Amino acid sequence: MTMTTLLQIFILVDVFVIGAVSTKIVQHAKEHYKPGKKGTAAPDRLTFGQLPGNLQQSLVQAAQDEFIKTTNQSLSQLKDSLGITTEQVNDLIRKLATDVVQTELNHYHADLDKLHIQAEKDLGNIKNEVSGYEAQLKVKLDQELAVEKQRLVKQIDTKLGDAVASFLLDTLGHNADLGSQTEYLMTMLEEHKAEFIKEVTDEN
Amino acid sequence: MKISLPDEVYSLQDLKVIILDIRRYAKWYSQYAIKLHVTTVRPNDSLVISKNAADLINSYSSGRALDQSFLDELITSLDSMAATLPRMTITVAAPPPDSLKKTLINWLRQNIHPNMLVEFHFKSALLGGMVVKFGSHVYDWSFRRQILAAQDKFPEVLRHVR
Repeated sequence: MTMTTLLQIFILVDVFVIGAVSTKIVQHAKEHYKPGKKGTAAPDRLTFGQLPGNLQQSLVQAAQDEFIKTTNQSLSQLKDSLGITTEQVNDLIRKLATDVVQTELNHYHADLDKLHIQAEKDLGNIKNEVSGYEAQLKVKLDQELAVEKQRLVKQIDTKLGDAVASFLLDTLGHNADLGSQTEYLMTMLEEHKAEFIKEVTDEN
Repeated sequence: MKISLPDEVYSLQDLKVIILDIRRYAKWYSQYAIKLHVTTVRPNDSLVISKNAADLINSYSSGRALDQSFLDELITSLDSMAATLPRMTITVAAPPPDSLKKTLINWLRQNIHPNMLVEFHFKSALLGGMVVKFGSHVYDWSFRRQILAAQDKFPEVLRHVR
């Protein structure tokens, strides 16, 4: 039940009460000012028209005063009643509104919790998927790195081997065989033969 | 009489072993001669000496009668050789095989001195080649020295690697 519906009910109740009170006032007034009834009820008695003018005037005045007084009292009561009703309706509306808001809030919280759980679940799934994907990527990356490393190491080995061989060949000369060195050693001795002979001669 | 050392005797150590062997033989021979002199029965004890020592005694005697003075003379000559013969130290990168030793010794005895003494050592740090120490000179023909001498070239060689 919404606030608009409650307000409409309240206005209808007010209209009904005002209508009832107005009807009562009109009835009361009619009863009071009806001349025929008094004549028929007591034909032997004096009618209002037979009363002296000043009495009539004073009676009319008294009736008017009484009517005004009664009307004012009724209005005052109605006002009080309306105030109380308004207050009650306000309380009711407040209570209803609070209840409605509370209910809606509960629903909202429940929905929010559901969404939160769902989101967490989805997030968990996403996290798991991401972790799995990460692990796969890592494994793939490691494999690729290992292959690349192997390739580079092999390449470096080959190139370095070539470089070292080239360097050694350049440095040691073509007579230097890294396997059999006899030829190289004999060449060296031959080259310094004269020095050796001189050394022997000098010693003798 | 000129002594020619066998090819197998190429180091001072070998020569000293032969000298010791001949000394031992000389001592034994001295005792044997005394026994022969004092007894009528020929002593049947004998001494086994190394083949190198035996060859050296035979080559040195060359028909001369073997007696104590001959042996003493031989020992004196050998001692003198041990003290005066030119000695060469050859250090190579790995234990030299007998074939290499023989080649080097032959060359040295044919070209430098007929009784050249040679000592072989090995030192893996040389990487290859050899270091020859002869007299007051050291000839470093090792690969290590050559590589170290040319170490500045290596970065350049590396730079040209593609």
